[in-house]
Amino acid sequence: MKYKSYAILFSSLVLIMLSGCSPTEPATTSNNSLAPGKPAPNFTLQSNQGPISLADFKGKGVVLFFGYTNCPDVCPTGLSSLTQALKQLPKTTQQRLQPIFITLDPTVDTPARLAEYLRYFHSNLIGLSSNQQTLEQITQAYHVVYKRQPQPNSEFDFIQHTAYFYFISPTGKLSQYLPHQSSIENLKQALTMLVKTKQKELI
Amino acid sequence: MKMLISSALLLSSLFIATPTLACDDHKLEISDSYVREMPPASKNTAAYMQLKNTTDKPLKLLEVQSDIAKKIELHNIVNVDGVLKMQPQPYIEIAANNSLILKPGSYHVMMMGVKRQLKQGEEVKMTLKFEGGMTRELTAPVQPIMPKSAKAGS
Repeated sequence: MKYKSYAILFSSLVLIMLSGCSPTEPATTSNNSLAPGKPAPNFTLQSNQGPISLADFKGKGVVLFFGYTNCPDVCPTGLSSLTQALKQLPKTTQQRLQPIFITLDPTVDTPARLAEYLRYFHSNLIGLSSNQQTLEQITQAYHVVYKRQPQPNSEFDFIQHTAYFYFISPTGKLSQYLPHQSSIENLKQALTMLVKTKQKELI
Repeated sequence: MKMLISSALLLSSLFIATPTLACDDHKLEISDSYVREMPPASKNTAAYMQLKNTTDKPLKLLEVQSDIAKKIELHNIVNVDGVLKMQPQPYIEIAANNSLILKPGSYHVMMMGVKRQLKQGEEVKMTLKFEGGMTRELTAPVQPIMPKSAKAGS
């Protein structure tokens, strides 16, 4: 009898543990409007060349990535894979794609600093910054979860964050998202599909 | 008697002075070590390597020291419901007769407040300290940020 109640307790514990959210997708909030096939939320943010909106790139495939320049491991890995995927595509395909990096650390990452950082990876990368309030709205719209992780005796804080590439079609719809550790091959496929979408829509 | 004491002292000093490295060399093999090149504007980087423990006991890496950075910590990246968290580790354990790869997105040596922007072609000297007093000197090359899956593209 005793064992039975232990077994029930144990299995209910396991059930509770398994009921966490799936780690493979951007966290969903009550706002559930972000989904493949639906319009990608528009934004207007600051680049070192002035304000830039997602809507400016209608007709191009856009790949979005959120991160910060002091990011020690995740962002350089993601940006590096993306850069290599882009460079391995034909020039004509590359010209129809726009990679964009949005900072999660706007107090540190000025548009100028972002531009300097991103040039290291790919000359076409645009870096965008904003005020904290605008950034809150955009990260919520894209279901980016992030949290500052203060570092005692350090010049900068870490930021815990979700890290996905968002692929946005030339007509402004979210095509798909992939985790930052995706292979170069998978990123190439996703980027190529974006441009193919455009051809389909023109026919 | 004096003779005995002094020879005993001499003998014991020999033991003390003998570097422990000679026998430690067989305990741990370090390979594929590198420090990641730094993009401009970034103040930090990470070191990666493969650690092979050839003993029957787990080995614990406690600390890495280098003059190149203000602060060096052992870190792991943990995915909690899709959010990637950097977790400082008190030590990194290499299981008995096993290898552990420190790599991007996983265990790594976090170097913060690096004194200059490290570029490919440079080398970084560091000292690895293990539980039980074993230390290992390491000179790791600086390599461009290249994921392992990368093939030389155009």
